[in-house]
Parts: sequence; C-alpha cells; structure tokens
Amino acid sequence: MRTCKEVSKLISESLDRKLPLRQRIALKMHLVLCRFCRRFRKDLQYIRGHIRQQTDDVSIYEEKLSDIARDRIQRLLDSES
Amino acid sequence: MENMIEVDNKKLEPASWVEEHGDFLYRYAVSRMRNSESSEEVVQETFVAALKHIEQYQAKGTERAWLLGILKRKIIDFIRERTRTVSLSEEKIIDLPDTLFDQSGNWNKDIQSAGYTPLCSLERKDFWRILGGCLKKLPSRQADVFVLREMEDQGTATICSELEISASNLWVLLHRARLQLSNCMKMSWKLDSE
Repeated sequence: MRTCKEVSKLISESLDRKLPLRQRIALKMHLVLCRFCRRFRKDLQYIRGHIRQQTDDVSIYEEKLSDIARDRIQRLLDSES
Repeated sequence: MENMIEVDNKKLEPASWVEEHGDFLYRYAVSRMRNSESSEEVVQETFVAALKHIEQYQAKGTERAWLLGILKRKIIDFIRERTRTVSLSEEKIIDLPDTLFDQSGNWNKDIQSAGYTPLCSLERKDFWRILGGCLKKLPSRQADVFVLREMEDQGTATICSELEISASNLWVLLHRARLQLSNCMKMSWKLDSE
C-alpha cells in the first residue's frame, strides 16, 4: 500500500504525463479509500482549470509600470524608431 | 470585407506602445516573474525586440497579441537565466512539503482535521491575489517551473530542455510546488475569511 505522500506525487505527475499502468491502478485504488488525497487532486485540477481559463486576463492586477520605467522605455523607442 | 482590408492595412505604432500596452504587458510579466524590476526589464526588452523585428509582424492578430507573444518568449528566456544562477543548496534546504505529512507518510493531523473548503469556492479576484502571494513564498525554482507549466502551459519536455533538468527532477519540483501552493492558498483563504 502506498502512502499518501507517495500518492500525492502520483497525483501531481498525472497532470504532466500518462502514468504507467501499475501506478495508475495503485492511484485509483488509493483514491477510492482516501478522501484527503481526493481533495488534493481536486484542488490541483481546480487550480489548473482556473488558471487556463483566464490566462491572458490581467485585469484584476492593479500594478502599473513605474513612471521612471515608462519614460525610459518611451525614450528608447523614440530614439530607435 | 471592409473589415478585412482594414486589418490588412493596419500599421504598428511603436510611438504609442508604452501608452497602449505598457501596463498590460507589465502586469502579465509581474504575474509570472513576481518581481517588479525583472518585469520592467522584460517589458523593455519586449518593446526593443518588437521594434527590431517590426517587419515580421503579420497583421493577422492584434498589435497587443503580437507583443504578448514576444513577451512570453522573453519571460521564458529570463527564467532560464535566473534558474542558472540560483544556488542548488538554497533549494535543497527548503523542503517544506514534509511538514504536510507525518512520519509514516500520511497527511498530518492538522490537514486531516481541518474542515475542507474546496478551493473552487474562491472568487476570481481572490484566486489570483492569493495565488500570487503564495507563489512568492515558494523557493524560486519551484515557483518558476510551476509558472512555466501551469501559467504558460509549456510541455514538460520543453521545460526540461529550457531549464536543463531531467524529467524526474521536474516532477519532483512540480510536486513540491503544487503541495505547498495548494496548502498555502487554502491557509491564506481561511485567514481572509476569518
């Protein structure tokens, strides 16, 4: 029987590659029995799904290019164009 | 048809790039690089590179999409350089995920006894703020591979060759990053709602 720590690694890896059959079976069996690992998997899937849904949407950020950087870049563009 | 002609004739206007796209690109960079100085640097490099290769712009997409494509490439380059300079010893010392498990490899008691609040009930704005805060707490290499894999949607083979690490090394880093991130996000969210 694999530990939760080992299984959490399989859960993570399953997001990056297709696991070998034996590991897939071990993972499935463990998940049936362990709700903490099920939660971990659910959270990871959610994080991935949420990020990919709005990957180019930066509207929630409020940071702005600083005035110094803005001027510097503008001057650079003006001088090179 | 008229629209298409207009698109074909669309000209790039470097003089207004900073005004039009500066903040957008900067925000995108900050969300990936987690550091304002480096972000300003890549935005500047992006504009300079765009100007240099201005003849390669094909009016298929918008000016902004074109600039974003260049920025994304610059971010990968920057992260690759940064990974080279992070000392391995620094990364080895920090092995926090072990605190999430007890000695026999089960989730530790705190995690087991904490009521489960699925992350999916997070509001969109909170999600990004909390994700950003938690990424900053990760060891830099772990955060970088997470950004490339999840935020930039790069394949594992690409990441391995860009960062010159083995696949098994990458899986270890991603595993640690995900463990800590999901835990940190839940903790921060809980603190928020208390």
